[in-house]
Amino acid sequence: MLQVDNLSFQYKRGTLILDELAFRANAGECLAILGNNGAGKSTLLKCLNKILRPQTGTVCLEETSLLNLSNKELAKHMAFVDQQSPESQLSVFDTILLGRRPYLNFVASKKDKDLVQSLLNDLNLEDLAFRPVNELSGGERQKIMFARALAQQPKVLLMDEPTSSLDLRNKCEVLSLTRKVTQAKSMITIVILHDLNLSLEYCDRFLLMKDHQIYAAGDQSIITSEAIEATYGLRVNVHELDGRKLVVPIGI
Amino acid sequence: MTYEKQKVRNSLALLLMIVCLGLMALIALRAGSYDITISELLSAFFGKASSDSATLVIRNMRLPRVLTAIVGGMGLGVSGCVLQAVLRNPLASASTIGISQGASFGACFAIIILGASTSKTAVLNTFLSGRALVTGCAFLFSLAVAIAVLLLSRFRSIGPQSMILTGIAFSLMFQGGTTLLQFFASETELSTFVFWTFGDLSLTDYKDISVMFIIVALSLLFFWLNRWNYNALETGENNAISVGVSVASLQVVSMLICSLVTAVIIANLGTISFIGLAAPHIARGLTGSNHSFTLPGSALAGALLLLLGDLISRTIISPVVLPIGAITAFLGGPLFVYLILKGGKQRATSR
Repeated sequence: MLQVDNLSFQYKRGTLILDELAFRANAGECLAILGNNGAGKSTLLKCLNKILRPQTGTVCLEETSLLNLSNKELAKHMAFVDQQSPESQLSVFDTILLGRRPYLNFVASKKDKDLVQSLLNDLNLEDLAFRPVNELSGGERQKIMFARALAQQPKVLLMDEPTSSLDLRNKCEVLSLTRKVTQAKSMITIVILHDLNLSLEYCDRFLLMKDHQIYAAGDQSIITSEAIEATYGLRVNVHELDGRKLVVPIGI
Repeated sequence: MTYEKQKVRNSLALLLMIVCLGLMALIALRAGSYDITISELLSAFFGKASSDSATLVIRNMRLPRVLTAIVGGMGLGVSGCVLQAVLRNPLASASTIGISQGASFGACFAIIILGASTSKTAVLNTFLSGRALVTGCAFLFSLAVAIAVLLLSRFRSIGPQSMILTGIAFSLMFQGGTTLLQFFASETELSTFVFWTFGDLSLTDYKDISVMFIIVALSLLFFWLNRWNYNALETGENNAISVGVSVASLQVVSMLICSLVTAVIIANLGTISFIGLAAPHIARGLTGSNHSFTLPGSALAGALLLLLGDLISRTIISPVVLPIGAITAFLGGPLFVYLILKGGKQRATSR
């Protein structure tokens, strides 16, 4: 279980972006972070991963306090998929192999390369293996960064809008693979999604953020029209369809 | 294609560059007004030549020059590659962001204000020899520029083009400073200083070359050990942190070493621009973007370019030796324009 307590962050001389957040995330489950632009979702992920340093707070995975680990040690526990995928000239294979960097000292072993190859196969990227990343489409790049994160074999996987430039089929492919891996390896996956319905389909837990704080957290029972209106400022109807919740906007 | 095949392909590219470098070095050893056959050249190289004059020409005149070009070119090439990696800017190099100009200002400052002379006969009778004082000053000023560039890129997150513009600003500032110093200089100081504006490969002895070699070799080793980190940085700062790279310290230490290498080379060779810009691009074209290959590739490409530039400068209107700095700048300028245009096109299509 991942326990986050009392997490606060502000930029120098800036406003408070995260205001004493606390939440739990369970192994084998996908947690969706939902909320408006500017609610602090991306900042939250970056604070968990030490890309930004929170002013107060603790992040504990079981007994390990993650914020006290070195970058390299942390990278063995936690992987991160950024919102923007890079414009690098590195080949796809080398990019995914970077996920093994926390584990290797000077050379990549055969085991590392085999792992990369199997990830390429899982994500149907074999044909692209030796193309430079910057020649590929935005969607392909997102899948590559996802593969790189999985190559880290993390216990916690953080993803910031991993599907924003994917088409519907690729979105479902990435998210269902995420869920499958999360359950199989009993990982903790925390994912920021803008598409409520997609998150309802692929995530187990939800965290609604509003004004730098947590508005509500729990399973899909917290996704109600009142909660969505309060956090997104948008009137919606929440229907049940084939046993699943479906959020339909009805106006501002 | 498999990963192993890719690796073999890139290693072959490196091997090809080494062979080219060897051939080029032989050509450079032969070129000049003293004619010599290849077999004579090789025996002179190993000190077994029949005539003393052959040995003298090869070992005391041409060999130091060729070694200077190889070591200096390697240093300039590899630091260009590292600067481009840590600043995430394909237009970066010691001469385009102002590090070189800072170094030559420092050298000028040492000669004119501190009275260091680099002529072989007038080694200062003090703790520091003239060359060391010049090198130290060059390093201080190049480091100042490197720190300024780093601060600008970290805290103002300026884009690639703006960084080059600030580089131009730094260059102009230091050129102005250099001109001012020259205005107050004596004639002998001026003539010593002209060396820095022209660039010259003939003023190094074996001791200078070994100092350069040690510094370049150590820096290559450091960069090579960090090749995975540079690869990670290629995918963006956040991604690099998330795979465990300490980005800030990597940037600072890399920039520091690049300034040191540049300063040492400039103190010995004078201002030589564009080698550091061109070499990494040639290396990436031949060996791909993985720094396991790009780093040695850039070093080799830098050595090849400087050797080629020197060969051109010596042979084009032989026996006159044209200033090497002018030759590389002349050849490098068009390449710089091409890179700017290419970069602009890439950004336009990626939108």
